[in-house]
Amino acid sequence: MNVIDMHNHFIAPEVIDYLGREGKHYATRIVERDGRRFS
Amino acid sequence: MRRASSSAMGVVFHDPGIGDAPIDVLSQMRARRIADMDREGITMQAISCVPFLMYPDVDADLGAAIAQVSNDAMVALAEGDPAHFVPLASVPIQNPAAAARELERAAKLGLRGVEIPPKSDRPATRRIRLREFFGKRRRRSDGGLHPSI
Repeated sequence: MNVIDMHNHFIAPEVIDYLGREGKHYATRIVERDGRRFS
Repeated sequence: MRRASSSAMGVVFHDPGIGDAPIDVLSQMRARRIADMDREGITMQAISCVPFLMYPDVDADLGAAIAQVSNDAMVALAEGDPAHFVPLASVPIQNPAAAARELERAAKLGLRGVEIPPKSDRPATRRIRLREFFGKRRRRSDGGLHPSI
């Protein structure tokens, strides 16, 4: 039997990079603390 | 503010409206997800962008720009392992015509459906925009409305 999970999310590194450059237009900011990225 | 207790990747996103939410990074997620799927008996995952990163409240041009970035990346995910992952597009639903155009572009790239973010408008406005968007689609693709968050 095939089972398909229909509800999963994913954010590509490209999206993170894009928001790192353009986040000011989206009221979003990315910062790094202790080796972890936050925004 | 929510913290990323479930974020084994150590990456957390914060949106002023909803707080922090964990995200996965492509280079680290594939093997881990497949291992989880095998353990839980999942054959495939339909994968979409995190809803708040669809930015339904920003200017439509900005919404289209980030949708394109995300959708292009989703293609790479699907091409990497089409047996496990079915990518769904995000679209700038704040402009139904632009959303239909982006869905068309995404479908040509190989994305196989679309997910609409919740709470993009007042309910009446949202109904109008959704009706317009689905009316403008040039091809049939499976669509989903994300549950409210």
